[in-house]
Amino acid sequence: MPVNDAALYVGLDKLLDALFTGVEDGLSDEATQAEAEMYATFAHGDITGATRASYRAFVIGGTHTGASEAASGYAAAQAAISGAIVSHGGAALSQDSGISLSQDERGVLLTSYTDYQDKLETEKAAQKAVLGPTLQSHAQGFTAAAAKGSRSKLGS
Amino acid sequence: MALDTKALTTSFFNVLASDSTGASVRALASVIHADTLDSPPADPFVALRGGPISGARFDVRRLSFGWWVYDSEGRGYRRINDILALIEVAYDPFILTNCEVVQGDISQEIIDSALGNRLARSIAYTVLTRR
Repeated sequence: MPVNDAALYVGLDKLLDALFTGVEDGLSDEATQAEAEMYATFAHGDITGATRASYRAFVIGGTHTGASEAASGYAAAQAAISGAIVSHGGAALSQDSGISLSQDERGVLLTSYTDYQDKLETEKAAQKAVLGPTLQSHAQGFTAAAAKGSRSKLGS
Repeated sequence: MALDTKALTTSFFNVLASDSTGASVRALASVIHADTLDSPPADPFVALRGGPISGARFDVRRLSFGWWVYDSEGRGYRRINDILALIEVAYDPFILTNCEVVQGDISQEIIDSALGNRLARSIAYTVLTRR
C-alpha cells in the first residue's frame, strides 16, 4: 500500500512554526517587563542618562537578530551622552554579544549600549548592577513565559 | 508566614560570618556586608550583596545573593580561588531551615577600580523557600 508522508511533514512543520511563534511571543512579553523594570530603576545612578536610555531586553534567535534593538540602544546612549551637561568620560558602545544560537534555540538578551556597563555591573560588589539582578529575577519567568506561549499557540 | 527577608539574609550571612561551617573561610578572610565597603577590612575579605527576590507569596520564593571575594592587587587570584572553594563547602544545600540553597555561577576575574584596583570574583547563590 503506497504511503504519502507529505501531509504529515507539512503538519509537523506547522506545529514547529506554531511552537516557535508561541515561545517567541512569551519571551517577548517577559522581556518587555524586564526592560520596563530596568528603565524604572535608580540602582545604576544617573549622570548622563545614557545607561537608562539604552537598556534593551529582546528576543534573539531565529529571525530575531537584535540589529534594530542594538541600533536604537546605541543611538539612545549616544544622544544622552552628547546631550548631557556633565561628562563622565564614557561613550556609547555597540559590540557583538558573542552569543551564537542554533536554528532551534531562542533566548533573551538584556543589555545596554555604553562602554562602562561592565563596571556598573561589578564595581563595589555589584553596587550599581542592573542587568545581572534583573536577569536573576526574571530567569524563572522567561522559562515559564516560553512554556506558556507555546501552550497558547498549540491550543492546550 | 510572610517572607522575612531580614532574617533569611542574616541566616545566610551568618553561615560564613559566625557559624562553625564558615570557620575555614573566616580563617583566611574577613566577612562583611557589601554596604560597608566604603571602609573595607584588610585583604582578603568577602562581602555579601543581596540581589532581587522573585516569586509570589506562598509560591516558591527565590532570594538571590552574591558573595564577592576581594584581595589586594598584586596578590593574584590564588587566595580568592581558595576562598571560593571554602565557601562552596560551607553552603550545604539544606543548611538553612526550610530552605534550599542553590549555588550558581562563579564570575570571571575582575579588577575593581572603585576599590583600589583590588582583584575580585563572585559566587552566586539562590535561596529557595515557600512563604
